[in-house]
Amino acid sequence: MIWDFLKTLFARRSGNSSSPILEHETCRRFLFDKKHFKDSRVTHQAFAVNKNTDNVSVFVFSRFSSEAEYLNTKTSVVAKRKRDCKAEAEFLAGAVSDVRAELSSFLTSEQLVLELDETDYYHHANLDKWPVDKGLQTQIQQALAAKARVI
Amino acid sequence: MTAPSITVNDLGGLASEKSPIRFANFGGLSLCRDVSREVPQASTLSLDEYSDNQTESAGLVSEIYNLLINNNVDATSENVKYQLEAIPLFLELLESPMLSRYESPIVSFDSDGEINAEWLGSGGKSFTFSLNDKGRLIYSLYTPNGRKLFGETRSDDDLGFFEDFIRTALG
Repeated sequence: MIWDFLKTLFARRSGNSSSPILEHETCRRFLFDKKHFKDSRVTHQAFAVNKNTDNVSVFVFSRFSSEAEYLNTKTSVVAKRKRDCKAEAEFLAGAVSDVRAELSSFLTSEQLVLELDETDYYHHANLDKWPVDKGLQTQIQQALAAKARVI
Repeated sequence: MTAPSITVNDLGGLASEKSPIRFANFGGLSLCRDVSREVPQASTLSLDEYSDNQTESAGLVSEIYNLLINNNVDATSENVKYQLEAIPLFLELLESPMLSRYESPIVSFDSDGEINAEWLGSGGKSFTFSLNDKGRLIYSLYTPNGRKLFGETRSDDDLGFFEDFIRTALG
């Protein structure tokens, strides 16, 4: 636990946590429910906002130094969730900007952001600052799902 | 009137006791339909056996039942309260002549307990609605290069426009 704390502290001091996520970076979301995809298509529920945290958890896949490092993180998340990871939804970080542009008439400039949050895991990020309106949330989820593919 | 609701912890308790399936009186809610035709050996099958025997061709009622038992049960969503009173309305809606002519939607529960149907088309197109236990419907149509709209209505309103949205999503 102390080692993890020191690693996180070092990462933050060295500036790793604050580097912005670039449009071309690849993100992945773990899908724990078979209702979150159908064939190669992602359903809007794959981007359902967590009721407890008010955000959607993803990993910046392109920042992992190796497949092994990514799989270690995935194993850790799966153990914490106590559910099998059925698939993954992959999308470019730029998809978030695209969604913001598509729905700009409904979203304020502060809403829907993709931000690093490496409190628990390296290269972890959140889709955060969702609008409260459920219809708009659903529309955003559909737009994100349309830009994602099943891995 | 307060809508009956059960938490996933209640469901876990039910599952662990291997209760026989009793759709007609589940969680204090009457579904008002005979499901014995849709769920083989409903009076004798345990929940675990039932889950093991689920197939793609299972009926809508049994799919919803399976969702209640297995869906959203994880460490991060323990306080999901399913809006059970929405289920009969949802079934009535999906089995209406207007909607039953289209392919079956993907059925799931939202994190707020509302029941959801989604028609997923090709090229990122989709139409979805969520129904709560008061009969309120939140719907949303998304097409990448075309219509993007969402709104709110009620299950007892004229929902004829849903047909256009479903056709758009599946077309």
